Formats: sequence, structure tokens, C-alpha cells
Amino acid sequence: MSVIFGLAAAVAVVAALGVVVAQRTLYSALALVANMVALAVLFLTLDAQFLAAVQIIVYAGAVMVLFVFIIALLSPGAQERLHPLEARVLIGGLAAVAFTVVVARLTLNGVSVAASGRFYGRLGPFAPVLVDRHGQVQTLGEQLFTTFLLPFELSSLLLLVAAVGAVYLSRRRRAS
Amino acid sequence: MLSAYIPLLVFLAIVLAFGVGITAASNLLGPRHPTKAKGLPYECGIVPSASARRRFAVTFYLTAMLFIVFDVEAVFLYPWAVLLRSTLHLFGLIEMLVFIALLAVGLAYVWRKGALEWD
Amino acid sequence: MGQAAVSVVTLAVVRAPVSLPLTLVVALVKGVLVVFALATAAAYLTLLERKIAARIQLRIGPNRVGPGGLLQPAADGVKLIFKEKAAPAGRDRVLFQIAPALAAGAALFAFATIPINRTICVGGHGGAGPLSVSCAGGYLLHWDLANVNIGLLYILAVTSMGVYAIFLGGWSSNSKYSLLGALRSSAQLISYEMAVSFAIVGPILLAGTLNLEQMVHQQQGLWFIFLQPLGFLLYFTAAFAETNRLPFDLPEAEGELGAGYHTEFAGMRFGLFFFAEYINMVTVCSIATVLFLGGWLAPVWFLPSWLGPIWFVAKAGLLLFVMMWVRWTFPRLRYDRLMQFGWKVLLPLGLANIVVTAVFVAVR
Repeated sequence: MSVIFGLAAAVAVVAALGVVVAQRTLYSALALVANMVALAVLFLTLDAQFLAAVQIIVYAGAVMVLFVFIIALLSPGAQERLHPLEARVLIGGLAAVAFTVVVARLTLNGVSVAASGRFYGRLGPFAPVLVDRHGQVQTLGEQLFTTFLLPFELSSLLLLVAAVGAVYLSRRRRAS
Repeated sequence: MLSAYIPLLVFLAIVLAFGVGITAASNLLGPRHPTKAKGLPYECGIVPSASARRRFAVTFYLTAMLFIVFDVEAVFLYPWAVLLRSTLHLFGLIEMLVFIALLAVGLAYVWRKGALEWD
Repeated sequence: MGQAAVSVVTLAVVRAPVSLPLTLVVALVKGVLVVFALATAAAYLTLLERKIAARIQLRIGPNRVGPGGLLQPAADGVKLIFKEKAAPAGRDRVLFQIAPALAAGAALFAFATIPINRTICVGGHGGAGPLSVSCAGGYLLHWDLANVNIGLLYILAVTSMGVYAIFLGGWSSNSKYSLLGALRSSAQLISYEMAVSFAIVGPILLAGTLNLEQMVHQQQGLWFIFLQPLGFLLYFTAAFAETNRLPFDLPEAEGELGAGYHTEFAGMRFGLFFFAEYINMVTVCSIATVLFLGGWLAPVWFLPSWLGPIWFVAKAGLLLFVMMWVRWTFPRLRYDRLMQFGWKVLLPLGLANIVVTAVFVAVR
């Protein structure tokens, strides 16, 4: 188990670094695809099988396809190099550091609270026992369509907005 | 349950070996006489004009964007479809009818706006 | 519905604990067998395709290499390997190498969760009932590489990676034909991937599982094609587009695009793309067999049920033949019509099919 976790985590980190340091934008995007796939394997080690598949189908297979389309074709030959002291780079770097701190704190806290049992108690239906029971579509579905009914229905509204937004964007670009 | 996935790791190694092996073999074997004309991309026999990297119709990008929307919807459908027969019954049916109705509105909108037309 | 109504939530297959080395060895043997079988199948499908094309056009087809042309695929392979690998000078060298291997790799890897027979108990004693398998003292042999809870989604996930192979192949060539072919192909693939996503919800609703072996068990007595004729039609139609086959082979429309995304690939690099196309055909036909045609179940009750793999291959083979038959019979669609067909016909029909099936399942 831990071997698989180690492999996937290593690939995820290397790919994430690749996103940042790759010279060509398209390579960055492809590294991000690799990163997403590694994340899916990490989900798998947590027994979240459905989530692992969804991670690949939606993120690596749909969202990143759009990214690659746009990078490969909308900016032909744009080999933009950022100056290391440019504002964007600095802000991005600060955001990355802040994010790391937050995630680290959450992780460390989570582990200690979990050890005392309170963490899982708060999570209610996602206590590890239940996740283990099937660790899969059935458990997730039961929760999604009962406890989290409202967020689920709202998500369809969100998708509707996304469809309208996509059409609007393409219309505007076509007009200009 | 993760143990069920371990064979996939082995299979991945086999498939990788296959891909790398064939690619390497095809790189090593066979003659190699590159000439300038041979290195030109195919363009009906004439010398290529202008770069191949160019912009394309926005409809391609629109397709990719709409694909994301409907792909996410499909992903919501799977756990529901698994559970409808055994656990969700009529309640689940109504839930999903609302969900699908909203998406159908989305599709109708996209359709009406002519986003599915290619011109 | 004709099948036994068993509570689906509780039907996890009971697994006897198996040692890790044994698991790895079995996976290795199965994996090599699958790759070998798929490679052979792909090679002979090219021959079959040429033979069928020839017969339809009142020709004989390849018949010089070996008896009846049976060694033709081997000759083709040798030729492709030893051919000069001409490549455009302005290519992206890394992606140009990776793309063909990725295409073939994704096609092979997708096959892992397709069961070609019911799980059997080797050596031990135990009842292999339709929904749970116990095997005391023996080894549980799955007739797929990985018998996982989300088998169907696994295939969708892996095949969705094939888009990258095609797109990067065309893009890295630095050729206008390749790029246009790649773009067309990717847009077509994702559009019809959606049609597939919706078409397969019907069988999932009926079976209540994403595990492909249980999917087949649920069809004992009545195959899903009889309950889901529209779903089958939608799936199989979209499958033509997913595998870039005529009448949906716009990406490589040879009359207008050279050969589409793989125009600039020569030798075995082209061979890998070609190989991937035929493996994908095998995969989509196998999925259709599992979801709609009862997988390994015997076609009629008096035929022996222990010949499972034979029935499976026969059903998938029939679908493969139909794919070839269609290719040499129908003309090609225009690209805009093709895309509109996916979005305006297959997608709404898929949604309607889901709604009708769901009502049927929920109020039963």
C-alpha cells in the first residue's frame, strides 16, 4: 500500500514541479495531466474508487483537454518567458507559500485530532468504517442523494450557468 | 478493496514496456536517409506555405467547454443509476428528473443560440 | 424485469485473502496474455478488414503471403518495422515519439476490466453463485485483469486519455493536415464520448452496478439489448465515432486531409496508431457485448454455458464484422453534420432513454 502511495506521491510532486518549470506552455499542461492522474491514484489508496475515476474522467479527460486545445492553438508560437521578479511571479509565489502553510496545518491538525477520535466523529457519515464498507459508488451515492441533496441539485444550476457562460464567451469572441 | 487494483499496476508496467519497446525498435531499425524535401510536412506535393500553427474556429473550443459541462452531469448520473433500483426508488427518480430538466434547459439554450452550428 | 431481483448494494464479491506474490504473478501472466491476444487480434482484424472490403467490392483481397493470405499481417509488421521513418523537420521531437505509443498504450490498458468469463474457483471447493463467489482452499480466477467496483468508469477514464495521443500526434507534426485532423478528431472524440456516457446509463440503471462481471450476471435470462434497444443503438453508433470508423472517420478523411492526424507518421509509428484503432474497435465491441449482449452467457439455453469465452468472442466478433460491413457500405458524413448528429440527435435521445428507463426501474 505504502509503496503505491509513495510512487503516486512522487509522480504527483515531480509532475507539479514540471508544471512550473516547463519551458513550453503545452508541456506545463501535460505535466498537469500527469499530476491529475497521480492524484487519482492517491484517491485510490484512500479507497475512494469512484472519486479516482471521476478525477481522471472530468479533470484529466475533459478540463485539461480544453486547456491543451487553447494552449496549443490559441497562442501559436507564444514562448513567453516570465521575469523572476515580475509582480505575477511574486504574487503567485506568495500564494503558493500561503497555501502550503494552510495545507500543512490542516494535515497535521487532522492527524492529531483523528487520533483522538473527534475528527471522524465530526465527519459523521464519512467515518472511515463507512467509507471502508464499500468505499465506493454506493456509499457516496447514498450520501449524495439524501444528505447532500440540496448541493447536488444546486450543482445542476451551476452547470446550467456554465453552459450559458460558454456560449456567451464564444459569441463575444466571434463578434469581434 | 485496493488489492483489486494491484494487477493494474503490473499491467501498466507491461503496457509501458510494450509501448517503449516498439517505439525504441522502430527508432533503431530501418534505413535513415533524411533529405531536405523529405523533412517537409505533407502539403499536396507543394512547398508548405505559412506556419501550421494557426488559430481555428471558435466552435472547437466551445465544443470542449460544453463537453465539460455535460461530462460532469454524466458523472453525477452514475452513482444515481447504480442506486436507483435498490435504494433511491421514486424519491431518487424525482431528484434526478429535476437535475436532468435543468440540464435539458441548458442544452435547449445552447441549441437555440446556435452554439451547435458549424459555419 | 426478467432477472432475479437481488439487493444490489450487498453484492460485493467475497474475496479469499491471496498472497501478494501470487497476485503479481497471475497479473503478469494475464497481462502478457491480454497484450498478446489483443495484438494478434488487431493484426488479423486488418487482414479480415481487407478481405471483407475485397469481397464487398467483388475482389479477392490479399492472398499471396501464406495460405489464403494468412501471413499477410506478419509481412505488414515486418515491413512497417524496417521502413524508413521519415518525419517532418519542424516536429516536436518529444511528443512526436510519445504520441503513437500513448495511443497504443491507452487502447491496451483500457481492456483490463473487461471480463470474458465468470469468475471460477480453481483447486478449492466453493459455490460460484451468480452474485457472490466463495472458494475455500483454492484460487479465485477472475477472467479479467482487475475485477473492480467501478470497472465501467475505469474504461471510460482510460479511453478518455486516448484523445491526448491523437491531438498531440497531430499537433507535434507541424503539418496543417495533421493539425486539422487532430483538432477534428479530438472534438469528435469528446462529443461522442458524451453520447457514450449517456448511452451506458441505461444498463447501469437496470443492473445497479458498475462492475462489469455483475453487469453480465444481471443479464441471466434476459439480455439488456431487449430492454435497451435504443441504448444499444446509441452506444454502437457512438462507438463508430469513438474509433474513427466510417461513416464517422472524418479525422482521417483521406480525400481531404491526407490521412488526418497521422499523416506525417511513417513506419511503426504509424503502425502504432493503426494498431490502437483496431484495439479500440475490439474494446468498444467487447463493452457492447458486456453491457447489452450478455457477455459470456450462452446465446440459447441448450448450448453449454462453460464455453463462456467462446460465446464472448463470438458476440464481439459479430459486432466487429458489422463495423467492417458498415465501413465498406456507407458514405462519409460531412463534419458539421457529424458534430450536429452527436449533439442534436444522440445526446437528447440518450437523455430521453435515461428518463424512460429510470421511470420504468423506479415505479416497477
